[in-house]
Amino acid sequence: MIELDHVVKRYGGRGAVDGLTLDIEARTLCTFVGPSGCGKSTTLRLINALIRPDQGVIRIDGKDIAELKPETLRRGIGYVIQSIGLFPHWNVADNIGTVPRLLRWPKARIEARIDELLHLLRLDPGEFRTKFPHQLSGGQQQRVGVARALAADPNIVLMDEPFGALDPPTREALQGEIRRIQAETKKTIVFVTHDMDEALRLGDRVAVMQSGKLVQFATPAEILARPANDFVRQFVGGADMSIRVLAVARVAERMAPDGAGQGQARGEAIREDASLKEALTMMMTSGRDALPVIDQEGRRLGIIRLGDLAHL
Amino acid sequence: MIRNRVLFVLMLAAFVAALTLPFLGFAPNRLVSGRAISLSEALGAGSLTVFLACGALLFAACFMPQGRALHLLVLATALAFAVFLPLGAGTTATSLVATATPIARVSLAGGFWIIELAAVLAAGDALRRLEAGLALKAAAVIGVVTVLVFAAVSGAFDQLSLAKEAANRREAFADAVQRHGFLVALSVLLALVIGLPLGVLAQRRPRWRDLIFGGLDIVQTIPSIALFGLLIGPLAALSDAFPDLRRIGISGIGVAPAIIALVLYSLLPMARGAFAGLASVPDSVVETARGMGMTGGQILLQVEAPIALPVLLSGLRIVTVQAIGLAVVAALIGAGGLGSFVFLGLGQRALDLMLLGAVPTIFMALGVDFIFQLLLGIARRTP
Amino acid sequence: MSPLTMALALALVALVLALPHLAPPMHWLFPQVERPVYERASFVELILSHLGLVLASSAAAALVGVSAGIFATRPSGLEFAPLINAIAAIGQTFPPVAVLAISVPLLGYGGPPTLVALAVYAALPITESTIAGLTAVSRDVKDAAEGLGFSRLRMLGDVELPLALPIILTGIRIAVIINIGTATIGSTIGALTLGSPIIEGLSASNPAYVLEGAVVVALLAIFVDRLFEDGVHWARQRSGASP
Repeated sequence: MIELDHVVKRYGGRGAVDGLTLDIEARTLCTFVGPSGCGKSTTLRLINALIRPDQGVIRIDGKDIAELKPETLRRGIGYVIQSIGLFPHWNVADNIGTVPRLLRWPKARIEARIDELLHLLRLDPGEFRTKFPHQLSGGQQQRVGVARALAADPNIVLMDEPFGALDPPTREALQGEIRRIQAETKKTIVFVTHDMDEALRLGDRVAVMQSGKLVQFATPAEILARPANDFVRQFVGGADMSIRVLAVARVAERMAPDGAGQGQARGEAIREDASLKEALTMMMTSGRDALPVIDQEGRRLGIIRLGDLAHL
Repeated sequence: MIRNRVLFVLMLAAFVAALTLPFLGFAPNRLVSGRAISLSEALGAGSLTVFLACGALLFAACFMPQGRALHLLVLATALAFAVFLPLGAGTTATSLVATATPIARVSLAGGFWIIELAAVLAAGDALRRLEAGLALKAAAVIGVVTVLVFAAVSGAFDQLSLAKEAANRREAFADAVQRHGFLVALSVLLALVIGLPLGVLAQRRPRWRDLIFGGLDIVQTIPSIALFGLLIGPLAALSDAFPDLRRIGISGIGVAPAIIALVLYSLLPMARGAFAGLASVPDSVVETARGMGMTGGQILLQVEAPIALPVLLSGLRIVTVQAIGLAVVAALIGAGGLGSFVFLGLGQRALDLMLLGAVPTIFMALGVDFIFQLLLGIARRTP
Repeated sequence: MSPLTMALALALVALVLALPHLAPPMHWLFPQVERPVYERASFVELILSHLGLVLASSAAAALVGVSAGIFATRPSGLEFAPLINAIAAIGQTFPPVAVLAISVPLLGYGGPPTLVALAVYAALPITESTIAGLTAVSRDVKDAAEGLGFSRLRMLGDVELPLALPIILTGIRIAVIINIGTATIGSTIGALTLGSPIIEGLSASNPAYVLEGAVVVALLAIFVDRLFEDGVHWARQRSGASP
């Protein structure tokens, strides 16, 4: 767990981070979102001690990070940034092996780990190990960047707008990879973005920041359903908001159980963990106004209707 | 229609030089100025035919459809030209001196240098049109230099005045070259030891930057001879006050002020090179290196230094080439080296002696420059 | 002119005018020297002759260098750009003193050969910087000017040269500073310059002469360098680049 306790960081008298208190659960993906200059990147750099807070305490697994040697702390935390920062004079394998080498892992273990990570990021080791960064596309470079951050198997990975410079299709593909990797490896990931869609899509919990302060810290569905104030409402995006709700909210939250006098639904069923957006799509493509709902094992649970989708 | 205007201009220059300028100078002894000898007079009928054929070929190449094969042919012909011209001059010198007294002097004159330069530039232009890689360029230079050095060692140029002058002063010449090399090497080494940390400091601490570069800028601005002169007084006073210093060679004139001045001059390009090299490392690279837990030393040595190397090498190249030239001036304050021949020769109006100092420094500078270009090419190729 | 440049100019003028009257302090500084102030030529004469050499050679070099640079960046001269760049680069590896020395067999002793040698050597960095400056003018700006219907000549005069001026000035500055230094050594081949007292002082073991010549020429060089600093600053502001 990462705990921020009344953390303050000032630049030129202005509070870049202004009394921030929040706990990030272990093994979850937490996104920080807000306009530029809101303090989200500063918060990230405080966690791996690239900068020191003026006030307050940051604890990781209960230990005050101010008491650790910054290099030791950072070697246990993965770090990915938008401009990637691959070492241009080293090939892909050398780049990925950086932290294991710093930690003096045996050579064979480093080599094995490099292959494992290339597979995890869907890069063929035979093709990519010996390539240099300038020979890779932007998306491939960031895959290597992510692999490098995961190399020493850190419990925590910090990502600062990692996909901000990529084109939309590449970006979506990598967002998918991050969700998958998080599910497989159960890392604690702190992900900074200025893109609300990305924050809502990726985060187990979303921290919305404004002018160095935490405005709301909640699940995506809750942020959409109950924005804490006008700033969040506007940031979530006025008219588009209901569309976003559909993408985030699950069928399970809106369905009615069978036998509640709701009538019958026939045809192809939808799983309870699908999003409302998927339910709407299925209704529209099949020309129905109600769908049967099933669980992961295919057991029938109930029904969801077109009208249920509209209730916010 | 002219299809290669660069080659055409070079050949035209060579042609005009061959017709109007003396190729060699022939003097009865080293102090009087001699008679001019034109290219046609200098070369026997046989060599002249070869040169005319080469010239005609290069001229014709200006009008032919351009392509790789033609560029290769031009390259080979121009290189052959550049090798055989000095060899021909050497042979002519030998036969001319055989007809005169042993103290007669045959020197290379303006015509020779312009034709030789045109041949070298034509070869360079062909290399560029071929989009030659580092290896081919290096091979061309090394090939020509090897042949000429081999010819020189086997005595092909012995009757040219410069070689005679060198032979007459064999020991003094060897000493001067050695001393010159020593002055340059020691000052560049010291500049490296002092200048690199200054450059790093300027990059790490912006507040120091203006102070460091402002100060070194002023030093660089002061004319070399003035800086040498300004150091004489303080150093003389110092060695008067502490006689021990004189025993280790520190006094107002000689090697000590020369080395100090050379180092002072070298600091600016050295520190600038280090600074610009470090500035060429992307911020994101340093940021992630820190983020991954590298220490300051690891970042400097493993990340920044390799990326900065090409820029740093350019700085070192400037420093070394500049030091070779400045060390010539150091002879005026008694530091020795090739400059002593230059100023002695100028003072005695013995121009061969002056050239014995000036020409080797030029070749030294060109050689060092070539080596650094080679290193730079290699450093840039490894990403 | 910035206050610092102005102060340097005043100091230089004051020093040159005061030097003839400085015999007593110089005598105190160098008691072993009989005549502690250089008198063969007045320092006013020396500095004017020195400046004359530098100005004339630099002006000629600027004319040649800028013309060569313009030629190498026009469509008709583009083919020659690598050749011209190569000559400029190779030429600059020649030690300036060596260039000065080898001008003697070709041109003889005295002021005029010094002038020619200085001009030839100075043309190299100016050519290089002119090509660099003109090449650095952004394609967008040139496209825009072309789109507005600028003729080639007006484009050069109104757009390219003003934008390239800071870089060209940097090249001229390097050339002039090298010239001030090389002209000093020109007195070894018979030119009358501020190097004359230094060279004479060195050969006659008169440290007072050396000091006088060195201080004046150093001050002159620093002053001219500051003058260029001001000029480059002005040109940058005019061309809209950040200072």
